[in-house]
Amino acid sequence: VSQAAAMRGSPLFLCLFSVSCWVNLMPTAGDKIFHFGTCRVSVSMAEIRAGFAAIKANIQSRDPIRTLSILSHPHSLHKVKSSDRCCITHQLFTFYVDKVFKHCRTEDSFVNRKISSIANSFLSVRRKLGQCREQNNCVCGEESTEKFKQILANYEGLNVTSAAMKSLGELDILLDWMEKSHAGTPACQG
Amino acid sequence: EGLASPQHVRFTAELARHLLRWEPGHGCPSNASYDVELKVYGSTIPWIAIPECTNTSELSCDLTHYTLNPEGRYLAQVKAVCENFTSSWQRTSTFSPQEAGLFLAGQSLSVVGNSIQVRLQLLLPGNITLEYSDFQKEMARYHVYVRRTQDNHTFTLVKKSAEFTISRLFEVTEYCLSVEPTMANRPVPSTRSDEQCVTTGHRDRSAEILPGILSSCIILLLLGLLGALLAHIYIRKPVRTPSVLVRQGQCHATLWGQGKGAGSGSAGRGRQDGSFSSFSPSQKSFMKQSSLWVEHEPPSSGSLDADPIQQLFLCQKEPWLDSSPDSSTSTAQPPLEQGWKLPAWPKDQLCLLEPTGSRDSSGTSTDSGICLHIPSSSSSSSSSSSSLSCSEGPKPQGYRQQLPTAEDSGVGLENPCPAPGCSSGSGNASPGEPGLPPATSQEDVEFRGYLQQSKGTVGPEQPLDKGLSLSGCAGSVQGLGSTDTVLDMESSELAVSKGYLKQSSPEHLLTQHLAPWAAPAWDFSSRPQAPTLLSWAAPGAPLTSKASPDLKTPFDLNIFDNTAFLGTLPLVSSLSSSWITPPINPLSQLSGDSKDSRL
Repeated sequence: VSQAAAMRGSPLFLCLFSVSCWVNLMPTAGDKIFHFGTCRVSVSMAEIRAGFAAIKANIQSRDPIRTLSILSHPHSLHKVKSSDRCCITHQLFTFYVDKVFKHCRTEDSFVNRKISSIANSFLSVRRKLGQCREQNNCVCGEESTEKFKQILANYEGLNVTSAAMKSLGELDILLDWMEKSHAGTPACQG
Repeated sequence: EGLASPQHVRFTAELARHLLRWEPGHGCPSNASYDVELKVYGSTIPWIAIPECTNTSELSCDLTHYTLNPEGRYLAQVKAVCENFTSSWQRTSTFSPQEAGLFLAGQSLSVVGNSIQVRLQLLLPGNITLEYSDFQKEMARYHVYVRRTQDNHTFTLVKKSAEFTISRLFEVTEYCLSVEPTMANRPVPSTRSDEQCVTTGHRDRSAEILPGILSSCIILLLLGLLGALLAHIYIRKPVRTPSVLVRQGQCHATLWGQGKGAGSGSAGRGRQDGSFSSFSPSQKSFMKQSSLWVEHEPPSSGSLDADPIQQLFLCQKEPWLDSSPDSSTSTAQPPLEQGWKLPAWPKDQLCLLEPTGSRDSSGTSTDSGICLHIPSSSSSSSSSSSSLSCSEGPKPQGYRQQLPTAEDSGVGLENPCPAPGCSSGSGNASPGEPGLPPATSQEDVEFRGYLQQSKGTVGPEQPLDKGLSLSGCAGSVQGLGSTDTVLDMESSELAVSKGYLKQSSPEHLLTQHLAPWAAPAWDFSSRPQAPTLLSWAAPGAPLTSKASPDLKTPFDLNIFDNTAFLGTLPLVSSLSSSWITPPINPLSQLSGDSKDSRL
């Protein structure tokens, strides 16, 4: 009887283990799972980066102002506390969805398509982050709130189209910061 | 007029090698010079002119030292100067060192057996200030292009570390490798390294043996454990036979209940069933294991009610039993493939299931009521047993014991008893079995085995269902003559069959052609020729199956006995002629021991 129980148990255990591993394997190397505390968000980084790389030169050429940056120094994102990352990430994604993508219409349909795909990815990430925030998994500290205010101020210092284009051109700053701050791949990730 | 600015200005950066490349604009002769400037994005610091790339005629500029900040974001611009004309600045998009692709300083290959070990050198030696971050190393993917020289077959592998092994290659074959480093998380410019060729060696079989041996040992160990566990579960200690089931001596009664079993089984049979069930698992397993018994095809006609229960009693061999059978019989015992094989009684006596002491045990459970006694065994028991067999009228299945007591049914034919139902020591319990040639009465009577009788009263002088008239113990088997009619069945093996027909001597069987079944005009007394045996052997197989049904046909006992041979035809054929010649005390033997299960 004990043997029978063991026989039943071991395949079940193997199944559970493989399923858990498979769940982690679902995102490919290009898809990363970002852990914000207890909040897990999957972002298709490779896809977003590929889309951005295709339009980067075009978008950035439309930005004449090179002495000003919206996302980067001195309003660096690199000094964000780990506990505030969830909050500021959610705020930034909301910022991009609400204020950037819709103002980046160009005459080039190829560019527009790429922008749309990036916008869709951002939408899903923002939704997931919103759910985390509702569950009180995302806490906004004072520092992160200050940083975001600065970013908004930079944005509003320019006219809408220029600001939107500049923000879009600095998308890789956001992606790099996300990867850097969440360095460390989840288990089972290929 | 404006000079066309350089085109396609871009950064093509590898780690520690941030290159700015461009192409000459239109309309500028090849002797144009170019100026490069660099700026930090987002800062108010103005553009910086790069001295190394001022007034350069080259189309690239190395900006590594100016872009060392891994988190910096840079812009570069190039303008062309052609004679007195200057073009406008052509700017690049932003560049950060993180966009730099992986740089392979070198690769080294080494051959181990039929595999290739590859070591990639990521950094130029001496340049310690710049190295990959852990994140970059983690995200690195190396595309390895392997090409077999002989047929140009190329396949690609993706490796995650800078040191890896390519195994399972063809032996003694030349392969050429080139590696292209990429990043998993971002598209980076990558350049494929130059091909490097190497020839594989022979496979190191010794290295494969040890793991194989270890794994096989482990597997065997696990299988052994599993087998031991199963054995422990399924094998139990043998249980002693209840005394009730043992008639004489120590007999192991084995019952086979076939199929329905119940059927019209007489009470005895029912009892047998019961007794069967009362057997311990070990005994049952034993019975099952003794596959000597071959199931007889149930008679087509429903004469035979539910599958007859075959009973085999195994009794311990007794010394004096050995004397009876002659070696020939024992050796001659052919495998009863066809029909059935008697359990290999050690020439013991078959014991009745029930301890029957009287002739009136007709109601005994045992179909055959056969108790094979050793020739020298007490005739009383035998007689009783035989009487049992004889008196067992209703039992359709009687077991015809085969005369030769050698083994099989362990039927020891004792002096044949001419009286019906008198097995005179032969103990053939086959009820109503026509007395087989009483030659079996002698010790040398060998019990051939049992041919299941078709349903029908086997009792003495009780006609079989189908009219097969058995002359009972006395039977008209007198004509059967001596042991000739007794099929010498090697009783060494217990045959499992539905019923048993006592087999008369092979010769007799042979003499009687199968055809004239209905015509018992056999000259039993005469000795059948050995060759006839052979003739019978051929149709043995089908005959055996018909053995039972045949019983139903109106046959004389003689025929019955002969038909019994059918079942044992295969045996017969193999029987040596030696045992054909046992002394025949025709009538006496037949009468008494005409029962198949001559005991």
